[in-house]
This record gives sequence, structure tokens and C-alpha cells, in this order.
Amino acid sequence: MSANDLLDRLRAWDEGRPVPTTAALPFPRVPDAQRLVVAFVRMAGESSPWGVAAGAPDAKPRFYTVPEPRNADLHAAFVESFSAEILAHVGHPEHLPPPAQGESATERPFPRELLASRQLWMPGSTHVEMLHLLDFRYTLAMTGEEQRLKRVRALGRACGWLFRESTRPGQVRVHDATARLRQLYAFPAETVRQQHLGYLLAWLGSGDRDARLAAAARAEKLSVGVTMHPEYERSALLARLEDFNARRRANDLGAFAKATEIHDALVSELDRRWKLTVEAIRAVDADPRPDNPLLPQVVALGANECQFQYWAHEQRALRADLSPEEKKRLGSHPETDFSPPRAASRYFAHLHAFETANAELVHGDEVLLERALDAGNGFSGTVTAVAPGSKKGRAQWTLETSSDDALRLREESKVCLIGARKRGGSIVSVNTTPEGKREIVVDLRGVAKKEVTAALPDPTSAAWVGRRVRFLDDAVVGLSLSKGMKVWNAEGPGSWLTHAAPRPEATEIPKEPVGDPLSVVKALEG
Amino acid sequence: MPQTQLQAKRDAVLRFVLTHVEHRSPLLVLKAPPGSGKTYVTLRAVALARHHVGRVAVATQTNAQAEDFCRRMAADFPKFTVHRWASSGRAPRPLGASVQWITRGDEIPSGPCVVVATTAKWSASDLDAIDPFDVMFVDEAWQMSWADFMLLGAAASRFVLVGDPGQIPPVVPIDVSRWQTSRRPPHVPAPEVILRDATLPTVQAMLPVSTRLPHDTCAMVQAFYDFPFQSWAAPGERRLSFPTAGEATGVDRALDALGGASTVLLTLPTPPSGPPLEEDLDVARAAAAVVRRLVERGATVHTESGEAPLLPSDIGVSATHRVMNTRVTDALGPLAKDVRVDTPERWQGLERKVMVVVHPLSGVTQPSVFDLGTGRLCVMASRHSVGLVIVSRDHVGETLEAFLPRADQCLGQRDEAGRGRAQNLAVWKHLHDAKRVVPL
Repeated sequence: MSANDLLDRLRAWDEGRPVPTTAALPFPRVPDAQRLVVAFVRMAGESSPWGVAAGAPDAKPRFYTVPEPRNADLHAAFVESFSAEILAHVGHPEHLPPPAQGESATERPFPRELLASRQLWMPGSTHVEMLHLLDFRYTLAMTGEEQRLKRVRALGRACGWLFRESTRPGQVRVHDATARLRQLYAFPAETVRQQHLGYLLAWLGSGDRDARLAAAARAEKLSVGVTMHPEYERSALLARLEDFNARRRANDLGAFAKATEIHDALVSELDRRWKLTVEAIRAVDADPRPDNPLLPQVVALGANECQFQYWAHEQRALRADLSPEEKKRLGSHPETDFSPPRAASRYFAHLHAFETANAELVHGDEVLLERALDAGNGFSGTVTAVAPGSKKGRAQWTLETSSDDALRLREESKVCLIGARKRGGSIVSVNTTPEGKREIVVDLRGVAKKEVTAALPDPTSAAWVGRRVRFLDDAVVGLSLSKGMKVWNAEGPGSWLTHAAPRPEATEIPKEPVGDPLSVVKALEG
Repeated sequence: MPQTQLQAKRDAVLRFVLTHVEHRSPLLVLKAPPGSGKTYVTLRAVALARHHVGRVAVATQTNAQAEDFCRRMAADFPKFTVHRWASSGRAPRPLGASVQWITRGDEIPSGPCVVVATTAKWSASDLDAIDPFDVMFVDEAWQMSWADFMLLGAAASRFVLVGDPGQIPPVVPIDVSRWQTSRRPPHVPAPEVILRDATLPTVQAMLPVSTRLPHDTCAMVQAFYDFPFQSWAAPGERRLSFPTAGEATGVDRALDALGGASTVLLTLPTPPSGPPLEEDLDVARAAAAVVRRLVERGATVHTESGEAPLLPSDIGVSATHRVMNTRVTDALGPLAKDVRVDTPERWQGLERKVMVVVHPLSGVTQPSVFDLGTGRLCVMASRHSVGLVIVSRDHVGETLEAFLPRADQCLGQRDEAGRGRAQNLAVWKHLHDAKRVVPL
């Protein structure tokens, strides 16, 4: 925990309520029609869901359950039953409204407008992990009726992509409601208790500190993860499940009644988790802070991911001319990217996402800016001199800053002017003056005439002298993106090593030794 | 071991490397402990490759390393023109008469040549437009991820990777659990990926002697390496002495201890509420005080080459957090002009006679896998040729003892946290057992 986090938590305790930790929201608020809320429950010790609740936050949820989750056939049927919910939300080409021009699912262009802003909300991290488990179980499903296999595999791939997307830095598609609340507020509680969505929502309720604390303590007694309370599972479900299995083995029609009882018992658990997530969404919607104004670039990146990491594969999977073997290779393996270029490409994509989110959002949130400055990732100071820079049009500013401020930047660090990001350059030197002040010299790029205003004169102008300015670390964005594309190039002479291409013919080694290489090198020395 | 034998061992490895370069081995990985003459060997291998083979590319991890390599190449092999390929935004520097500064790919000669650029420059450039190189040397290869190395496949057909496996791995700011079990994990240092793959025609060599590190430091940092190496210096051959007795302070007692061995741990008491998290002003002041007293007391350096006064420019300071380095710089006052203060990442490849370092775990009471990574400590503990003062809060041993690694790595993967804890603890215990701990 950083010093700022600790201070925020103490402040929250002092005020008796959660306190905001950002000036703007780091993800966009979208209409309910763009949101799907999904919650799972599972049988203790099992990895697959026992029941699912899904629906838009402004509608009633739909509940899907399976009476016996350990039965593979029943489970596959259950997964198939809710697959349409997920596939429609994620934008599977066969589960979207038909395109206006009447194109087939394999021909229609990516519906960016429709899918760019869609959000999946889940109560907490264990629910998000359930997406990964569904991916593992169904993406590579091998047996079953063909149509069912097609649907459950599609569901597995969709869940896999959503899970992978949830790990991409700065993504705004898959929302762990608990994590989002922690991102927006500092709560006056131990870290481990902040993993409970009900606990956090109770703190966001009303009343003084004692009232909120008591409400939070009550809320955390009810489980919100994918595993139900053991006592509830034993008392409400175990006997019914045994009865269901016994009747099913005996081909007793009474099994249906038992299945209904199990369904009802699971629904109450699912409903609580689903409603808590909706409550979290409403808390976010009611937050007076604006959305970060620099989110569009982050959202656009997410739309590209949707198009190229999900949509394009699914559209290809629908093509009739692909053999089953070719279709197997579409999409990503649930475990990892086994292909080295693919692994490297995805690694660079995540690096790019990290760099984009960090570089963009900090400029749209004054609190993040202040924290960056506090952490020494920037500095504020007064311009004491303006001199010609290292090249024509450039300017060299000398700034006086406080030596009490932390500073992580150093010579050659790239910086930009806060409030005018195009005005940037690099640090030439950092020195301490005899008076104990810190003196930083920055070499600034020249700017086009059209960018010069009364408020922002040309960097070479002496009008800057005496002005107080703030600089921030100017991370390079785009390099990782370009690397992610280049890494597919398997044509280079060294691709036998980097891309497992066939090795070239070995060069013939001279039969006669040229001599002692040490002597040869000695002779080459100057 | 007598120095003649050490010299023979060193020459044998150099001959082995040169022979493989000469005979066009497709892939050579050279492991080099700190101060073992890695650049010396690389320069000779580059010269031989240029002489016998033709087109030679050199990839470094930073601009400073690239320019240092060019300078040394110009000094040792002035008959070969070296092209320093830099970005257009970087101002040219004088690197030697035989070094040409170029910024465009079409300035690279089409025939035999030596071209030196950073990995970033090689990666960002359109290599398809450049005639392929016969061999590429990658310096400080353990600092480069496999993903970045993949981009170099467009440059050359053969590779020589040189580096120090004990040093800092590439910085990875994102969650990489997705690729832990990948066949070639993109975030792992390139030489590690290569050495894990038994199907590759890899030739491996290890430099056996550190000329930089004092004898007892070699024994201490050996914990970070999976191959043995020895010090060029004999036991007790390198030490510090002072013309006058020190004051009765912890700092002076620590400095006096450098007369008998190369390393000393200067500890500050840990406050009951725990150490300051990142910016520990007391530790920064203590580190600066060590530097000041070294200069004020007029230390003399004793090495196998003789005696010499210790100058401020012979001293370096390192802390893992840049904010701490800024604090140390502030506390040094006028001495900051001559004493280099920097993070371990930037100290890689450099050395000083005496180093003063802040222990990476001094401000950490709940270590993460990142905290337990030993690369930073290894770099910090291997920059000196005579003396090392480690400044730290005194809780580190207890913190490491109490810490239970979770071993939550993927199946088949190395337990980095457990390994890091064991290695950190080994160094801490080594200093305690050798009675090299002095309370402030």
C-alpha cells in the first residue's frame, strides 16, 4: 500500500465514510442497454457453475441452473441454455440483429458502434475467473451433439476472450464491481474485507461511521463469491440434490420437482449477487464525478481488441469453406498462447494498453496528476531563464523547484507540460543550487506558429520567465503497438531462431584452421 | 588460485568464444559475472567477426552502452570503422575518429561493417530495407525480453548473446500470468528462453574470473549465480585505510571495518511502526554521511596495483527508488557533483572503487515477488572493486525469516519468491555470520 493509499484510508476512517480517490471516473458510464450483469454460483469443490443470473441492470434477471452440475450432459445443456445471453452481448456474428444490407454473418463488417461500449458487470473476481473456467471446459469440448457442441464451444471462446480482456490493462469492457468500487473510493477497512461487494456497498450507504460499520459487518456475513455459504449449501441443497439423483437414476418423474426445488434454492443466492452488482452500478451512476475526458482513446483500443481478438475469429469460424482442423486453430487456447509470435504479439498489445491508459488518463484527472507529481513522476517549478535550445526552434528552460519534492525523473527523461501535452522535451540536467533549491534544465521542442497563443507563448519567448509551470513524465506510446505488429514477420534471416522457421544451410567451416584466434585478434588491435 | 592459472582459464574461454565466432556457430550464449571482462571479450569477438565474416551488428540495451561500446571499439580496434546508428533526435557525440554517427538506415554500408544501435532502434527500424547482417552481438542480453529479441530475427542470421544472468531482468509492468506456460514466454529474458530450449544449437560459455570484485565479495554474490567464478584479487589484497582513527560513530566504525574485508552492513533501527515506505530520509542521510566521512577522513585504496587516495569520483551511491536517490543527492550537497548517485538499473555495466548502497528491502516489510527479485541487490553488491557499504533498516533479516513464500507460480515454473527469499537471506546471514554488521 502506498503512502497516499494509507492517508486516504485514514481520512475515510476520520470522515466515517468512503472518500473519492480520483477526480474523474477511469471508465465510461454507458446506458443500461449496453450493460449485462452476470453472476454465478457453483457447488463447493467444483469448477463449473451451478447457476447463472444474467440480465440488463434495468430489467429482471433471467436465471439458469442445472440440478446436478457434476453430470457432464446436464451441465452442457445448462451452458447451452444461457449461451445466447452471453453471445448476444459479446456480439457473436450469429447473435446480433440482422444487418440492414442483408449481409450474411460471415460478410458483415464489424459493428463498431454497436459493440464498442458494451460492458459486462460481475460481482467480484471469482465471478470473472469463472469465465476462464468455462473457457477451459467448453472451448475444447470434444463430444456431444453437433449443434450443441457448436454453441458451447462458441460460449467457451466468448468467455475466454472476456476473461483475457479483463486482464488487459485499462480495459473498460469487463467490470469486477468490487474492484471498480475500490478504484473509485478509499474505504476505511482492512484490505481483506474490501474483497466483499456487500461490505463496500454498506459503507457507501447512509448514516454515521458506526451505522455504516454495523451495516457492513451485517452485509459481509452473506457470501457474494461464486461459492455459497457451506451451511446454506448443506441445508438448502444437499438433501434435494441426493433426492434428485436417486429419482433420476430410477427414472422417477419426481426428479423434475426436485430440480425445480434446487433451481429455487439457487435463484435466491444468484439474485442477491446480481442485485448487489446492480446496486454497485447505480452507485457508480450516481457518482457526481465526471468520466475522464480522455477515455475515448482507451475505449477505441477496447473496440479494436473486440474486433480483432474476438469478432474476426468468430466470423471466420462461421465460414463453410474451413475444415474442422482449420477451425480448431481459430481463437486462443484457454491456457496460454503457445505460438511464440502470438504470445509476443499479445504481450506487446497489453504493454501498449498499459502505456495508453497511463499516459492518457492521468491528463484528465487532477488527482492522478497531483499523485504523479507527489510520486516524483513530474515536477512543478518557476521558469527562471529561457535560452536557445539544442536545435533551431527549441528552447532551454531553467526551472527552480523545491528540493523537498520527490523526483524520479533525471537527465534525458522525456517530459511534457501539463495543460499543453504537445509542449514537451527532455531534461538536460538536475542540480542542487548552493541555496539548496533544485534546478532543472529542460530542452523543449519547437511548436508550430498556430499553436502559439497569448496564454501559451512560443517556448523561446522570455514571457515564460517567472511563470510557474508543471511538467509530467511523457511516456512514449505506440512503440509497443508497432512491435506487436512487426513480431509476426518470420521472413528475417534469423527467423530460424526467433520464429522456428527452417534453418538455413550451414555455412561451410574451413577445414584448415586459420590460426590461433587470439593471435589473429591481437594483430587486429590498434 | 595463482593469477597465472586464472589468466589461463580466462584465455581458454576467450579462445573458445573466438573459435565459435570464427567458425560461424549459429548461436552462442556467454554468461559473464560482474567485472569479468564481458565487453573486452565482446570487442574482440566483434573485431574477429568483422575481419573474417563481414557484416556485424551490435545491439545494446541503452544509448549509453552503445556509445561506450563505440568508444572502446575505436580505442582498441581503430582500423575498423564503426557506425553508431542513433535516432535523429539524439545529438551526435564524439566517440572516436573511427566512429561514424548515422541516423538513417540507408547510411548503413552494404558491405562489411560494424553497426552499433540500441535494441529499441533495431526493433523500430525497417530492417527489411537493410542488407542482412552475418552476425548480431547482443550486449546485456539478460536485460532483453524474448519478445524484444524476436524482432531482431529480421537483422541477422547468427547471434551471440552476452550478459550477466544475475542482473536485473527486463521491467514488466503488466500481468504476465497468461504467458507463464507459453513455449517461449515473451516476458522472460531472451537467453533464459534460449537456454531452456534443448532443441536449439546453442553453444554456452561462462567467463570464470571477476577482475572487479574483491575476493570475499565473490563468495557473497556467488549465491546469485548458477555457475562458479573466482576473483582475480587475492584474499585481503584490496582494502581501505585511513590516516587517522575514526570517531566513535557507527559510520566511522563501518568504514574502519573496510580495512579487513570488502563489505559491511550499516544498520539503522527500524521504528516500532515500521520503516518509511519509499522515502527514508534517515537512511538517505546515513548513506550521504558514509560518503562524506570517506572523503573527510582521506581514505587510501590498497589494490594489487598499489596505493592511491580515494577521490569523490571513485565513490558511487545506489538506491532502488529514484526518490531515495534524489534525497541522497540532496544530502550530499557539493559532493553530489562528483559522486554518481543512481538506480541499480543505471549502474549496470559501471563500477567504482567504493559503493554505498541502500538495501532494496530496507523499506519493505511485506515483500512481494518483485521485492524479492535479487537482480537489484546483485547489481548493487557487485559494482565495487574495493569496498561496499550497505545501508539498511535492521528488520530485513527478521522480515525475510517471517515471510512465507506462497509458491503460487504455474506448475513447472520456478518459485521466484522462494528463491529470492533464500538468496536475500543468504546474503544477510553471510554478513551477520562474518560479523560485518555495524549498527549506526
